[in-house]
Formats: sequence, structure tokens, C-alpha cells
Amino acid sequence: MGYKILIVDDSNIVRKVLMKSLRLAGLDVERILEAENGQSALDLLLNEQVDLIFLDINMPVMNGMEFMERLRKDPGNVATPVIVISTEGSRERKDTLFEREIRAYLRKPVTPEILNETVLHVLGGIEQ
Amino acid sequence: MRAFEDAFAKVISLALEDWGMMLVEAGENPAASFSACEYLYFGWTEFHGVTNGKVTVLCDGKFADILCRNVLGVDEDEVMLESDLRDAVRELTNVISGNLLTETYGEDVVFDLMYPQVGAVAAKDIESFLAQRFTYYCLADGKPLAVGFSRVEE
Repeated sequence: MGYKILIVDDSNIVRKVLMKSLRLAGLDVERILEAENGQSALDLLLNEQVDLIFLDINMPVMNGMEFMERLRKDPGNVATPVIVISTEGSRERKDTLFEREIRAYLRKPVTPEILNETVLHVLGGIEQ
Repeated sequence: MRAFEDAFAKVISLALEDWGMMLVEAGENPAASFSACEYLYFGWTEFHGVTNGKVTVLCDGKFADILCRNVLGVDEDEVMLESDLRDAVRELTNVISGNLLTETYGEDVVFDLMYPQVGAVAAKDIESFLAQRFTYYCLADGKPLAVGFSRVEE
């Protein structure tokens, strides 16, 4: 069984690029799910359990900060690994996200090399 | 003013060269360059925090096409969707504005960045866009791009 990954980003092209990078990274990916905002992602997680979430912060409907707060209140997702990819650069926001147990914070724009390195590091600690 | 120009240059290089894989060079006579474009995109986002304002991006339609193809790795003979071109300009506006605020004000300042919008701009509005106090103009793969930064109190 491969990894099941959820990408939460309002940008269609960012989701496409992430999907392509993940597939090219040689990871054993079973399925990649997509959501264009935090609310859609929470709805999707009602019926799906994923191994890793990529999360943008600045999104319409529900942003990434609120998504993280709600995600951690869900008993099924207290420890689901999350990698944030955002243009947000403030230390306070980053600290808040790490308090909500994100695994990594990448600043946009992200190169495929850094993305692959981070994914391998985060998934390295997950048993399949 | 000089520090601000340096911040613009650094962020635009990061966004266009590192992410968009485009060659950035200095440009001259932006009004003439934009007037010659068949179609323009206008992206903008508002920010709120220790100061409030707006970051705006004006670019050629062909620029948006090149950016989108480069980011997605799509061949020239494939037709790009209008929604993808707008998405590319929206994401570019997002990347530039977030990085420009951090570069200018530092990591200890928190801003709320609004969701970026993208629309078309009328030719008559180009000059007023370029007349903003803080506007950076350049060519990326030979296509014109201008980024504006304005604060509410100005």
C-alpha cells in the first residue's frame, strides 16, 4: 500500500505542480487528493484518512490557520503530518503553526529539490 | 527608496527566475511597452497590519502564458486554459506580495494578506498604475511586468 496524500491549495497550477513533483520523486504514492480550501479539505477528511497533508495558508472560504485549528480537534487527525507551503513569512504565524504540530514550513516559491527532501524526511518517520 | 527597490528586485528575481524560470532584465519606457500589448492581466491583493495597503501586478498576456507553461512544464503547441493563466497571475501576485512584505518589514511583523484577485485592465488606466510612488518595472523573457506597492495613508 502506498501513501495517500492530500494537497490543500486554492491554486490549480500549484496543486498540479505538487502532484507532478510527488510522482517524480519516486515515492510510492497510492493516491493524491485535492482540495481548494480548508473547508473542502475538512469535508474530504470526514471520509478519507491520509498519510500527509500539504497546506497553503492564504485561501478563500477557510484559510490554512483555521484549518489547522479544526484539524487538530478531530480525534482522527490529531497527529496527521502536515507540511505548510505558504508566502506568509511572519515568525508569529510560523510559531502558531508549529504549536499546532505541523511537521515542516516551506516558503513559496518552493523548488522541487527542497520539496522532495522535506517529503522524504517527513514520510521517513511514517510506517506503511 | 533605494532599499525598497532592492526588496522589489530580490522578490521579483525569486518569483520569476526561481519559480517562473524566466530571464529578468531591466526595462525602459513601460507605458509604451504595455500600450503595445494585446491583452493585459491585473492582479492585486490587500494587506492589513502595522500598515494597510495594496500590492498590484500588471503583466502582458504573453507573459502570463510563458509563466504558466514554465511552471506547469507544458509544451508550446498545447493551448493554455484562460483559467490557468489567471491562476498563474494570482499565484504570482500571492508570491510577490507575501515575500515583499517580509522582505520590507521583517519576520517579526504580522500581516493579514487578502486572497488575490485577477482581472483585466483598460489601456487608459495603465498610466495611473505606473504613476504609483512605488512601482518596479522589468522585462521577463522580454515581456513587460510592473509591480506596484501602495499604502493607504499615502
